[in-house]
Amino acid sequence: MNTGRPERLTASGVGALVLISAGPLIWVAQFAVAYAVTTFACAVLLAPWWADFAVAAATTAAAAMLAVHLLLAARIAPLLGVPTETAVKTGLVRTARLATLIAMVAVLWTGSSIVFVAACTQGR
Amino acid sequence: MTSLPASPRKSTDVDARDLPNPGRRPAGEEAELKRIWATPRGFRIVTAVNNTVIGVLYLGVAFLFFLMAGVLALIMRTQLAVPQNDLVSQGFYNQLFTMHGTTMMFLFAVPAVEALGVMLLPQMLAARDLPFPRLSAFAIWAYVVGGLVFFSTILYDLAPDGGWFMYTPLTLMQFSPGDNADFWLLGIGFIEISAIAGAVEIVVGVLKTRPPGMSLMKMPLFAWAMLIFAAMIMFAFPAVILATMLLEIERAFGWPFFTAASGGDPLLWQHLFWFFGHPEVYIIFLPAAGLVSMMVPTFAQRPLIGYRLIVIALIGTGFFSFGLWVHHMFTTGIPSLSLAFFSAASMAVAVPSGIQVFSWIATIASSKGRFRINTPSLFILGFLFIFTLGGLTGIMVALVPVDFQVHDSYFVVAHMHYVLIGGMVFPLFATFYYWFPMVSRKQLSERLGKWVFGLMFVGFNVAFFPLHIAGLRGMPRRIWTYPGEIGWDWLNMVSTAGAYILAAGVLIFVIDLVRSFRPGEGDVANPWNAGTLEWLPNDVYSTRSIPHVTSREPLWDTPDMPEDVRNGHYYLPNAPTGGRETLVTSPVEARPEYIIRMPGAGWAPVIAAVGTASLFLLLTIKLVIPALIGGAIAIAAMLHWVWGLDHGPGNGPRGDKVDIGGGISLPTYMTGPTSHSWWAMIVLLLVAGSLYLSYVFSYLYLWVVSPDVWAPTGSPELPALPYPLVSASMAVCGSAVMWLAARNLPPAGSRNIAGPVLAGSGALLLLGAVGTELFGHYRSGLEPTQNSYSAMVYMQTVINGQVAAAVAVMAGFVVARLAAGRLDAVRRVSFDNCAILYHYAVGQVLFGLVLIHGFPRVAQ
Repeated sequence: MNTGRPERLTASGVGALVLISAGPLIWVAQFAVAYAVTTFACAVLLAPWWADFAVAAATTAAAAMLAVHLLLAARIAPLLGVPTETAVKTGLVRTARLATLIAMVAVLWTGSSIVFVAACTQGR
Repeated sequence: MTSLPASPRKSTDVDARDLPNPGRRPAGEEAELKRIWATPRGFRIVTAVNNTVIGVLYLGVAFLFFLMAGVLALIMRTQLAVPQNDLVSQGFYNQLFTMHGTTMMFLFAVPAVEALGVMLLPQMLAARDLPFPRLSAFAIWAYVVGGLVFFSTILYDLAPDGGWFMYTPLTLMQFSPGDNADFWLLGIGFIEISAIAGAVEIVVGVLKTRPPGMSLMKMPLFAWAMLIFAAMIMFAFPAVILATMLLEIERAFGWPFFTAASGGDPLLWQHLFWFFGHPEVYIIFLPAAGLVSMMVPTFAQRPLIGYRLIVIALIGTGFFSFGLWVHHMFTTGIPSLSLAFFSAASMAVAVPSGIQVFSWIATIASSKGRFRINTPSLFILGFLFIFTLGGLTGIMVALVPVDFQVHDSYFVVAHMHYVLIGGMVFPLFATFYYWFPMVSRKQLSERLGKWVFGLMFVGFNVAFFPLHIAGLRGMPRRIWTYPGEIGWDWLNMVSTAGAYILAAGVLIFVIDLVRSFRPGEGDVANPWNAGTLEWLPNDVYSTRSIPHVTSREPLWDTPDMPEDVRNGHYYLPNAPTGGRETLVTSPVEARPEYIIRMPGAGWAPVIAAVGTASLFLLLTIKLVIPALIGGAIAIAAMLHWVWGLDHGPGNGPRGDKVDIGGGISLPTYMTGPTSHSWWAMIVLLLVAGSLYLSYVFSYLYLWVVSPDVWAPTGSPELPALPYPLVSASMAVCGSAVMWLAARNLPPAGSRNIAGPVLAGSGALLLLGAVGTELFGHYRSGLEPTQNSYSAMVYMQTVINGQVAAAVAVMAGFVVARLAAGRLDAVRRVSFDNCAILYHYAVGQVLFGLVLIHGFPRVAQ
């Protein structure tokens, strides 16, 4: 009798979406940390160096994670429930790498602001 | 998972044995499909749920709102044509620009692209319909009824007048008395519900109802665009839902979220609004870009160059657009590093947008002169020109110093119209001309179409280009008149003339539309020689059989496909369960998994939609009891419609499994992560989680702004620890009880007492957990009107209470189904959905307890 359960597992849809979104998700994390810590450092701690440190740390960590994902996307896929063969054959790995590449540009570009701008001064 | 037979790629390869159903189909099979999927006649057409019917209605009403908001724009342009004009009063002008912006953004742009999703996606995916047709119908009717009532407020001087972004403190009760602002706050509520319902439908539809073989990387780009669009709605709309809740509660009950004197902050509104508002621009643009990506290859008669790059661009834009909200707030005094960060992100989003533009241009260029010039392709070229200009001014306003200069000036008005009209309206008109053959037997006039394009293109640029200069000359937005001697008059006169030229183009289109629109059922041809599945032979049941896809342009690569589909040689050429159904495939590889049995026409979605619209609109005018009755009617109608949905396995007239062809036998029932209902529930949880994260952001933001009003120094002491501990214990026990209930569901076809008792107890425990938390704060002497801290504490209970109430309704439904013998260990989708929401609710309650009781103790 049909039990309403699948006969055997197929590639995880959620896993596939996470795989191709991992790069942009890492950018989101960098962005959230930078925004939250800058706000906290400037408005509560009154310690601009905390903001500089947080943005630098978040950017470095994000860039490192992106580099790992860029190189090892095919190996990460099975951890997300997508067999490597499926991930490669269906183009998910290439897509994930390209998305990671574009996220890398965004991470380095937004993170570079630390070099040019004093953290807590008012713009006008 | 089911293995697929090889599919022919070229007509010359065709071997009848490669087709899933190579033989001649039985007589009467197609007639049965027509009977099952028939559109209701007469007044009963309002009960229709077919995507082809409600999609057209949805799009038609969205276009009606476009026309009405356009009329408001013409009145404004006429008022501004000459200096010191008194055509309309200042107060009415405020209502005009508020309703123009609100209608264009909420009632036209988002619904129009969602309508196109409802209308086109099933056809592009060769599905019989989207997976939740009644949810689509509900979303559409809520929008139609509520939207029309909301828009009508402009006729009674009741329209909102605080701008489409409704900034506080202007919109607080003190500065905006009367019901006008409430119409916006509550009126937008049901539109948000409608948009989210549509998003659920689209996410699940795109991921689960693709034809066999159409893996993610073979999906039409419009499907990708709609998937990203729906995901963005899931994360963007909750922020504005929370914002409208907070503002309405402050206006109605005085909880001071935005009042600076009580520790609130008017800028919190801007953060929440623009966290929604900026992605909203891309929510509108991405589907339009998806449509362009479908049309360009057809007119170039070659595959799109850079398909994968466009997918990446869509994903990248979807993410990056959430990092831009502060670029609407550059002048609000935010620290420089944050400004730089948001400025850099604002520029970074140009990269994926640029990828798409270059991809379209490359495709057109590589067609070597074959690119056909006709009305839709002219609109595409117009879009490329206008949108690129809008993008360039977008880069300008992303630069903080430039933004300081042009903020709140007509430069920004010009920029956003270049982006929105160029990025959405021109592709929409291209879409009208391109896909019109799918909905009408008579075609739009090509000759008039070129006039429409010419007038719209010239009119648009004449109307909006001078506004850049007006802005640079210092003309602020939202002014109802201006002095004559400061150099703005001729610019405004030219702009007004352009607006009328633009309107003349739209008017000719409307005349042609009325003249040509002849809806009819039956086959549509493939007039453009397009390569995608929506041009397969169609009828009320969509395609006769569901093809096996091996490429991105299957109609180009498998020329015999239309004939084979029409003759039922592919999958599911019949109605094996005797009712409406479609094929569900796996999200990644699109392997056939099971058959969804779908509901047909019914009154419940319409009644639920009217009830929902009544709830929100009657609350606006303080008719609380009738509003609650409307809400109760909505819930009752929804429960009635879902009561009949969970058929269970083996209850179909023709058994447990059905043969769809190619030796593939599929179940007609599915639970767990494979099922479409599981996916829908997860999407809803993401929406709920996003709303809750917006709340957490608001709580922490207000603490940063006004830590002095936080407990224990600025407010009464926190409740003693036993309160949160009891609350947490009840929530955790509830989760355990639901876990036990899942394991004590009665065997198939039977009933027991444990199931209903455990499910009911679980719901009571969750309500108890929320009630205990509320009682603890009440006993501590905290009043929600005291300050922003107290307001946020009670708001947490409101949000958790909403989720707990939803769980209670679902648990009651589960108990009723258990008692009626309609829920058991196998037929359990209703229970599983309730349990998923339950465990999520417990997580949210526990997190809230840590935040409310732990954070102030740590931060003091």
